[in-house]
Amino acid sequence: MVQILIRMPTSEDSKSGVPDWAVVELQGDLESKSGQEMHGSFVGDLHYTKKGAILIIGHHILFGKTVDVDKPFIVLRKKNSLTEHHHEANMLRSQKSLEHTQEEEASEVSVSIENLYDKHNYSTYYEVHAIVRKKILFKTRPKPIVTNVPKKL
Amino acid sequence: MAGNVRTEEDVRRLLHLAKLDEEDLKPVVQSFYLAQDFTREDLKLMEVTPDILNQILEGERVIIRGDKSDPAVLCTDTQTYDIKEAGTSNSLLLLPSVVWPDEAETNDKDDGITIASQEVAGIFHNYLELHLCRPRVQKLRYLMEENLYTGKEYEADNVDVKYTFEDLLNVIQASPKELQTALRELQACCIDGFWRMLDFDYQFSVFNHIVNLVDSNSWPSDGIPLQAVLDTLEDLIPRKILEECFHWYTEPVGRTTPEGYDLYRWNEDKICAFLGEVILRPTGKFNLEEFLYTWQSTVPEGITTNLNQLKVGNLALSSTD
Repeated sequence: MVQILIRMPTSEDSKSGVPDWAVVELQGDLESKSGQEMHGSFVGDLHYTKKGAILIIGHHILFGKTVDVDKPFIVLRKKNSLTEHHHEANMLRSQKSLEHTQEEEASEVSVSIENLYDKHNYSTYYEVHAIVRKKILFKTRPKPIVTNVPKKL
Repeated sequence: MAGNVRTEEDVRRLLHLAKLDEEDLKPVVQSFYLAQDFTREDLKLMEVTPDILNQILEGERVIIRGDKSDPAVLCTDTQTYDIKEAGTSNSLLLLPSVVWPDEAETNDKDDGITIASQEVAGIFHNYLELHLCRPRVQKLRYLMEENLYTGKEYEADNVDVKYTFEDLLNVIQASPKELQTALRELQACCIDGFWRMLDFDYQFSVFNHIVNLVDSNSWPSDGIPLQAVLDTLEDLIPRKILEECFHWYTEPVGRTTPEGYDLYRWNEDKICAFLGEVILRPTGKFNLEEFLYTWQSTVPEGITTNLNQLKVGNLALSSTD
């Protein structure tokens, strides 16, 4: 059997403890309009109003607000104690859907241990890389911006 | 950050396209850029509880356990959780740094906007969710029965597998506290660091030794000194086992001997249940009247049997017999 420890980073890894990160949650998926590589590219602008937040992405405008998450998230970073700086490929494939769906669908699947550790290396562990306690939630469907001159990303 | 750095003009252009009025907005604007490697295969999001988060922050043991193809569980020191992958069609953008609304008020310019560039470290469509569940301890009895303890004399030749507590944590999907509870329910004993279940006949012989000792010393059934039992019998039976067995069938009285040793009395229900099982084991079936007679004559003096006590054990009463 496998035992995978979840632990805090050691003092060599991080000098000031575990940082707080944020999540921006929005409906649908991000795609590159021109089909170009998305790495490093600009996504959109986030503005705050008195009451909430506004996100402009491509042709869409989204309205939302800052909320505390119901339950905290931890961002786990997979490591193994033999090769500290080598990131093993994660076997858990995330499903990237390129369709823009309207309602949020939720599915729940048991995670098999095989998906969480590295078969060839029994010293896999997870380090708490960050904690998420707040998110900016865009619950409403993105509204298309009607313009005369469409701008490309 | 790759790509062109956005200027105030860029930001304003987008604002105007979106028909937003700068007056309504706070002066700090954040421009999001995808990281070079935003697929982040090495990162996972896990939803926890404030309690679990605290335990991790305090350095307590939080471990994912399972056999290769088992559904994974997460164990703290006291509880076990199923790990499920929750998928959502929403996108979760993970940002190492963000300016929150109350921080977006101040501006290093008199008018105009301040642009903060923020990196999106990753985009997630699923995360790990925890569901409190029962520990998977069914395997424990099976493991214990692989090598039952049958007596000191047989241990020298005993080469079958034995498990320490840590060994068990390695093969049972449970938290340490839940494992302890399960071991106690199986009446397992820790002998020389290994957790063992007693062979039933051996357990009966230990019980008999204790009962005979009580009889031969004429101790009252509600005034049995544990210390004397241990001291007298420990050459025959390992002290640990003696003590465990003793506690299974007695309860403290709340008084001590003049020397200060604790006194105990028989736990009638447990003894009767145990002896009922002793009688039924070899035969499987027993005529009720004969059973009741035998049963009553087997229990120590002063104890009364009662059919309700059998519910304490794993025995069933069939209506015809």
